[in-house]
Amino acid sequence: MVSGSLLFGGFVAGLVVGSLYGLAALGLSIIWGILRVVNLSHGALIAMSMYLAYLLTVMHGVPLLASILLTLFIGFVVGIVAYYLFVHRVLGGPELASLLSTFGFGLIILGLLELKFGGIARTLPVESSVIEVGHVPIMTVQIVGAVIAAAIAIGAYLLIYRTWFGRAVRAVVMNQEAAALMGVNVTKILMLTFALGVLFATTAGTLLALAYSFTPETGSRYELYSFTIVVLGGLGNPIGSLVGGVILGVAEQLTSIVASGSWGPLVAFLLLIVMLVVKPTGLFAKL
Amino acid sequence: MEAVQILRQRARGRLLTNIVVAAVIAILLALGIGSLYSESLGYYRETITTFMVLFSIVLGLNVILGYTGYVSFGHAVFYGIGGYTAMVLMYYHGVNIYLSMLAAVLAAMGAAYLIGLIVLRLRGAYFAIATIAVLEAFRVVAANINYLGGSEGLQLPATYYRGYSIAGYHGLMAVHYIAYFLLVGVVALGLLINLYVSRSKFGAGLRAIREDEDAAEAIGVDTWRYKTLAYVLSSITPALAGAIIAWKRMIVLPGEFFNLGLSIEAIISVMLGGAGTVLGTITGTSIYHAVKTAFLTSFPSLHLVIFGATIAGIAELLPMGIIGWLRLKSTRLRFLLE
Repeated sequence: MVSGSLLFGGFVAGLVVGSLYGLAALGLSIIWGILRVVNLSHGALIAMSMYLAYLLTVMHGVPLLASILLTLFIGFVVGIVAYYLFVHRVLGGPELASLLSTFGFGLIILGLLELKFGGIARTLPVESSVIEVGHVPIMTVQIVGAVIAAAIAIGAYLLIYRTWFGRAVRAVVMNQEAAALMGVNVTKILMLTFALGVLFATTAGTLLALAYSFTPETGSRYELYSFTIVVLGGLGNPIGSLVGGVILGVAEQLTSIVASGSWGPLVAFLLLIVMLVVKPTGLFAKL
Repeated sequence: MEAVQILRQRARGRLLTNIVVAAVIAILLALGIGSLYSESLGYYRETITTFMVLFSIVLGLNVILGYTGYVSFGHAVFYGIGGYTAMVLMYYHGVNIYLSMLAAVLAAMGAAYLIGLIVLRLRGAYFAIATIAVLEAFRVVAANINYLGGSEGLQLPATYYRGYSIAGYHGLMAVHYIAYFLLVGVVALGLLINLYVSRSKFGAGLRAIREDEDAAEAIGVDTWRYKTLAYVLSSITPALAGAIIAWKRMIVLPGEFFNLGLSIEAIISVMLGGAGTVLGTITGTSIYHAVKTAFLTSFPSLHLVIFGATIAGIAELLPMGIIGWLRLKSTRLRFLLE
């Protein structure tokens, strides 16, 4: 059987990796919970941010930190533009319309990525030391990323529940008409929320790119994971996202220790199905 | 409109649809027979084969998406189940294509029933995502189990095809022609299923579920039974197509047979033509296939981008599809176009 220390190592690795997954899911959660739109371009956006960072750092020699910040900025702007092009029109209507509209947007991104970068795996030039917990290797960039992810998740929670902007967002979720009557610029709030969701996805993408190699398809793996995490943690719930991410991360890492890593998506799928059947609103439904 | 006028218009509509359906099948048959005796038609045989594969999936999808309103994003899973079931029988036991097709469709229908037990409890976006997850799960399983060939898939040797012959062709050459005609049969079956759904009380129940499931349940529609039956029916033609293609291409691969892209193409075709209409499936699939083939040859690298823009465009501007849009134009057209 598998040794206890190996399992412990897997558990810790799961905590670290899971936090990153949680951050990745946060964007999807926000957009889904607040705009009631399932953003099927989520995976493509994560991939986009990875390649943007690559483009700036490797192909244009911009220092790493500046690249990351620039990528985040571009991500936010893309979110704003995408809102007007793909989201605004489909907001009130049938669900299929928003599913397909965001999906189309995702395809456009993937098409452009394929065109410009092709299918070979890329990495960012990052030197990272590795520590071993219970014989399981964990990179320091992963730990840094996990800490940042947790900080952002907490920050998002504070944003939604402790600021004026957050109050306006919650008002729009509760009752759009009433919020408008109270002086809230509903369109602006929705647009900023969508852009924020895209920004979170972008951040997650850059942090993940520091640790792992990527291809345009990498995005879709994170997308399935994100769906599972959002269902686990509850729509629009930043802390739920973080916790859900950790749950999935631990499950994935333990699976790869006991069986093999490529069964990861199956684990996500099973978790997703179980949650959908047992408690679709998530473990900590709030918003 | 008066009741009598409505009935008359609807009868005309059904006649029109019957004629169109018959014409489509006749044209497909004629092209097939023609290609048997004329070399130059060989190219068309191949591209029409691809068209019919998409059409088979579309005809299945239309039942659960178009009539019942359940957005099955992972519908290609039935294509995959059909293909793998057939391939396993052919590869390990040398079973012929006809029996394999039968097994494939039974397997898919059974799977649809079991999967439905779980996913049909969900609605809207949750159902859509669950179907994607199911598709992904099947793909991962197929890619990781050696009996199913793992990521390399299963491949049939050329010797397997020795027994087949048609109109003077033998072995592998015959396969392409036989596959073509088998697909025409599948398409015909799919059209019949759609016509049945469109004109029966069962279909009316499905439409009621699509419009307002709770209200339908309240007036006595057994929604659970109807949804399950719709889902099972919708698995038939994709599975048959999967089995035929596995046989024709000689290989099954997890990425190709459990392919989300295939589902999406089917959804676009259904939406483009008009969900929940028979004429819509024909229109949507034809236009989509024609445009796609044209784009692939003219803009090979840009096709994903154009693809994505088209999907988003249809979703935002023409969500009811071409036939759907026409039906909204006048009451006459509403009853005329089925």
